[in-house]
Amino acid sequence: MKILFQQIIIGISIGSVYALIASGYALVYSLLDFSNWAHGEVCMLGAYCCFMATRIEKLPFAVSVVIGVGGAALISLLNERLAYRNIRRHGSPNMFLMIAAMGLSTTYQNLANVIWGSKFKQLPKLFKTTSLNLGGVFIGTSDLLCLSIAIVVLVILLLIINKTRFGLHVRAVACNGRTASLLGVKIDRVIAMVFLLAGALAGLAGVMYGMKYNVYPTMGNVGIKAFIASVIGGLGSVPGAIIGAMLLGLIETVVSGYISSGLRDLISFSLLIAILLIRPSGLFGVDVQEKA
Amino acid sequence: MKKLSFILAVVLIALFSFGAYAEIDTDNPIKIGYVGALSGDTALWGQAGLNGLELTAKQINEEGGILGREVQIIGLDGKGVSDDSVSAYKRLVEEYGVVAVVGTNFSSCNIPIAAVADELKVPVIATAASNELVTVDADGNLHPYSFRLCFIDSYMGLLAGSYAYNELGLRTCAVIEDITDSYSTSVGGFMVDTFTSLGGELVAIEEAQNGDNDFRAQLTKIAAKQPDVLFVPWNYENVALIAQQAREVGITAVLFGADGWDTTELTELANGALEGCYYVSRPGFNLPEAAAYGEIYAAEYNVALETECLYGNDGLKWIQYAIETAGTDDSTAIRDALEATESFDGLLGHMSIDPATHNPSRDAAIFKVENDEVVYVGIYQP
Amino acid sequence: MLNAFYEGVIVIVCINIIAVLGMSVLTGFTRLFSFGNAGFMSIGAYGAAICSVQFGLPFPVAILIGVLAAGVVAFLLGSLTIRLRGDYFLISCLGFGECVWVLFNYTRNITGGANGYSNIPYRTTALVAFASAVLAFVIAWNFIHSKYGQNLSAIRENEVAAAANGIDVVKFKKMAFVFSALYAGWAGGLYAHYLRYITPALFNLSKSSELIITTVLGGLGSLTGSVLGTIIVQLLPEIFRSLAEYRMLFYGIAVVLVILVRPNGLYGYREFSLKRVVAFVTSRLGKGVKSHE
Repeated sequence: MKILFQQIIIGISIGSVYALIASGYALVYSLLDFSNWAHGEVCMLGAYCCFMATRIEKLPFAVSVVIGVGGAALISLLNERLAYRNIRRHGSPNMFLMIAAMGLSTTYQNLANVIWGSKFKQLPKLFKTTSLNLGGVFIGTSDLLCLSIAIVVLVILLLIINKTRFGLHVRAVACNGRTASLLGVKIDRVIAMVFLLAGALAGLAGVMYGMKYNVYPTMGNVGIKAFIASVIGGLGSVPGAIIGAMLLGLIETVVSGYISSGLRDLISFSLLIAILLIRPSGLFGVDVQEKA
Repeated sequence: MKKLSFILAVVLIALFSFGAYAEIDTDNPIKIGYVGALSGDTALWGQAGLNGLELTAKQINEEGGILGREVQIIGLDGKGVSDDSVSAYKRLVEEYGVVAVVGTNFSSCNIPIAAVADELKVPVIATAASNELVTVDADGNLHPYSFRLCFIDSYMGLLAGSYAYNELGLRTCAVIEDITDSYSTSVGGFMVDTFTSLGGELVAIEEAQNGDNDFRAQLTKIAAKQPDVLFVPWNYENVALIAQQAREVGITAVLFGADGWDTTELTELANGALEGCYYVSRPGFNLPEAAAYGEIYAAEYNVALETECLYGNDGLKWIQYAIETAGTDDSTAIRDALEATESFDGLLGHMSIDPATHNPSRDAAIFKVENDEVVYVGIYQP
Repeated sequence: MLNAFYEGVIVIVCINIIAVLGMSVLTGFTRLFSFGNAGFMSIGAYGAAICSVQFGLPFPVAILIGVLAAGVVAFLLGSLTIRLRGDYFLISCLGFGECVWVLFNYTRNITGGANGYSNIPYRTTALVAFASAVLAFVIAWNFIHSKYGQNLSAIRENEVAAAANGIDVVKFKKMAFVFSALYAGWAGGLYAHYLRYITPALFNLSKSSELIITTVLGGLGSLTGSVLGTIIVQLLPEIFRSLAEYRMLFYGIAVVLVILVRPNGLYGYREFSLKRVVAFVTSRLGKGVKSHE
């Protein structure tokens, strides 16, 4: 029982980082109907921005975090401005956006390798690797911190989307871009803002991930996990992505804790396919005919 | 004016004589290839190996080259991927005309290269590729053109298992392996086999995958069994993560590892979680000659020392030895001389080659982490 | 005559052409993305290798069994997932690819796990690979230009309209999916008999992505484009090899640039045609002649 409780805590803490990245995926998907494969790399670059900032003397860590988050947001915006926007203007099918994102992802990973090398870089640990011992159940302090930050940020995100004017525009464009633009919503600006927001979320996730597991060029591969999470939740749905992420974190830990750590991915992917067979558009996705 | 021309003449004579002293045949260089991961996430070691090779080549050339000829190093990227590395090897042989190749540090690359080397008849010296199949195929036939510098997996497993049982007096063990990595599964398997055959008990075996960062689900299960020793046959980055997470979920066992731990950054990354833990590896920079080389290397490249540089050096020096013994740079003659090596002293220590398996037998050392520093315990022979 | 290096390059290009042609039939003609084709390659490779080594079957039979194994698995998987849309289908294929990878690592007794499967005989010479690639191209070309292929094109252009015209959309999509898996299995079997040693890690997600990138770069719906795309994608890293750490960086940048500069890929929705080249050249020549007059 203790172990089960322990595993659940671990699962939630892993899921919370997935959730930050997955919500960025979902935001971009809801507007542009494409999976932004470079999102994980934005996350990685954010972590590196933060790492570079920590090298500056006397700079408080909080400022480094802000630099990491801001850096990731800018890079995300840059991707949109330089690549995605041009491809949209060409009127190419959405799959080209995805391929461009895959190309960007390779580029960034290797760029990081060239600039910083493949060695792990450490972000300062705010806490030593201590854990709270609650009657035999260990809760890592960094987990607690990350989890609470993730919750606060995700709640703010949901409030932005559901309660603000900007959020209304985002939802309008997501629902029907052409109509929204006729009604005076500046689509390009909304898309740019969404990329900024998604990038910032990715940057935060990158910094948190870096604090827990160090910073290195291939850390963006966690993006795939987040992508899976957003599919489980239903593409384009932010709350779905968050729940999908938590679920994926839980499934992974419980499977490796109780069934087989070697077959973990096999079982979690089979579950994923099973979920899709029952709900073909994910848990919270709306079953719309794809715009052909 | 007279004085000035006199000084000029002296300087010119000095320059000329110095030039004559270092004069070697540069028109007809001896070409030696290197295949390694120069790009991608394992580029760290590939580049270190190439640097080591180039630094040593520079030293050899300053001392008059091999057989009076200049040594030229050609490094090609194999990305640490099998087919890429095979192509790189073929290209070195066919396009660049190298007489011997050093590399790679991955068994998965050297196993297919070994079969190709037998056909192209240019010897390849693997650096850290420790799988048995690198030099001897699955049917037990020797790959005549494939050599290696490192221990084989079973030897590392033997050392770790017996040190933990006999010297440290530990009785129960657990292991966490990277199921997608042959080094990890193979070394881990041999560690456990040795330990249990001595009388120890295996209480938990857990698996994880390449790319994983969070091992706590597996470690929580191991923690429940409270083993005396946890074998961690992984590379140092993951070792640092596993160690910290193991302490976080309450594992107090001694962590024991192999040469994947061997780097200057281990303790820095582990943040104290490896206190009192051990690993088995080569003596590395603890031998005086290697330490001296390390200082030159650090001054030349201004990067942290990696054992892979010593591999690069030893690979080249071994080829030099073979060429000088054979008196020719013919690839087959080099192969014969490599195979017949009875004693070779490199920066990694003394070694001799078993002609039946092409595996070196060399000294292994035990290291311990104490006060956040890696301490050289000494040479160990079970 | 042909040195081992060039032979190796030709073999690798030809093997990838086969795998990409399979992708091209699926993606170019139904718009379904499969991130699981490396998984099918893996099944083909292990199937053929085990037949060759364990059972000593002749090379063509071993390849055929590997191909069929990949096809059967694709049929079963397709029966479950082919109805999923867009990215949901994509992710189910991605999941499948990862499952195969994990499974082959796990089944150490059969596949050797991460230690790999070795001692596979060398059978895929440049000639075999080239002949296979040509055969694969001819089959794919005939498939695309058959009644089935036209139905597929109809589905790509407008699924609803195709269904309204009595085309069994699900059946044809599944057919294309199985077709691409057969090709992947074929490529995998040849690959195993070229490298002589296979590990599950050779057929990972990045292999699947490489196949997809190649297909799109070559141009969707164009078999000749796929061939051209493969040659470029496979040769670029070879040309960049001595650039060491900058090598894959340039590759990534090249992918993005091609997408930006040639938004339809190199040969989007049209085939390379000699007629057009001749027409182009003669028109230029014609102009040249005119200006002389």
